[in-house]
Amino acid sequence: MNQDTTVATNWPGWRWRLLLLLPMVLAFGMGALLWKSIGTDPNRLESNLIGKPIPELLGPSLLDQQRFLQRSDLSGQPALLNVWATWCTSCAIEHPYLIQIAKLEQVRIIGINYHDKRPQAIDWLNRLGNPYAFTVFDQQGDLGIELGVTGAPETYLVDAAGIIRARHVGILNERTWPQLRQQYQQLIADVDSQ
Amino acid sequence: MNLHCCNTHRLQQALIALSLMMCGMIQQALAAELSSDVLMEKRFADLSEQLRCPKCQNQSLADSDAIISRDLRRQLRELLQQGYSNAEVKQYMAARYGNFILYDPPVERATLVLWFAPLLLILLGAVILYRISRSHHRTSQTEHTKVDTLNQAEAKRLANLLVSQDSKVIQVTDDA
Repeated sequence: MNQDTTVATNWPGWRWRLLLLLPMVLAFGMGALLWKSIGTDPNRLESNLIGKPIPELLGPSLLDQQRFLQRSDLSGQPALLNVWATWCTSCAIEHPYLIQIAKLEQVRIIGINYHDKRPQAIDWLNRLGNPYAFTVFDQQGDLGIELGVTGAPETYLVDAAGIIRARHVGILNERTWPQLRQQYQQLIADVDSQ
Repeated sequence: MNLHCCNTHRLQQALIALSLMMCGMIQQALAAELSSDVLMEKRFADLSEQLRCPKCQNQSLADSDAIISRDLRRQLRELLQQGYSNAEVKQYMAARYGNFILYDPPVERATLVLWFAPLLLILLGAVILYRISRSHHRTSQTEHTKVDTLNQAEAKRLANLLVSQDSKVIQVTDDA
């Protein structure tokens, strides 16, 4: 008690009072930081592979066991690479929307069937429809590791040269697709102008 | 017969010697392989503790049972068998999953705050502590000097006072 008063009297008053503001400043800073992170998904990570090409060798085709798919199968068109699996419940929710944009907007979508069983996956496409130009059967998740996939559903935007331009973790729907659509259409325009 | 017997005897001896020799060789080879396996296992265990599951927030590859963690553990084992060094393994993982996967992120522009904020805070605390203690020191010193000069300046007066008081007291007691 006594010590406090001696300090207070010896420090110039305004400086002492400035120090009293410190907790408030810290509290506001903390508040601003937390406010900023409201609504952002902590699972959302920046992809380190943006600007890098997808692997040369993709994997066997889901529907045609004899066929091995490669980067060249992109055939010089921008595309979405969509990671899906029959065990993934969010993929079932996403699926009709993929069919919709493939049909109505002529979006080229390439499937990556991730950690799945071939008969179930083929059955899924037969039952629910097939929005994919072709599907890579990535049974062991090897292609997944090369792309930095962390789960399903996940979608990559790839340009005509096979370079990754964007990554979206989670479901594509009318809320999330518009951001990617803009980039996709830009890539289409780039191809057309060449 | 005798000859035959001796021949088999010699053959037996030779076989025993050969098998003993081979035993030693096999043992040596086994020991070498075992120790390299143990070493590899140790590196595998260490690295899977130092790498974070990219799907989960607070689990290492070793802790996590997510599909991606199982895949990455398998990949990690494969990389080690291919002769990747620990640094190369980390580089491989960070190239695909970003620095998030490293529990020990490298010093970069984006991670500067992470690395140096604690140090700055400690420094700030030290400066504040120093200033407070110095002002304490100063006040207590001035108090002491004040007390000292008072004693010296008024020692005589005090002594006089005390003497007169004493005499008063004596007087009082005398009166009584």
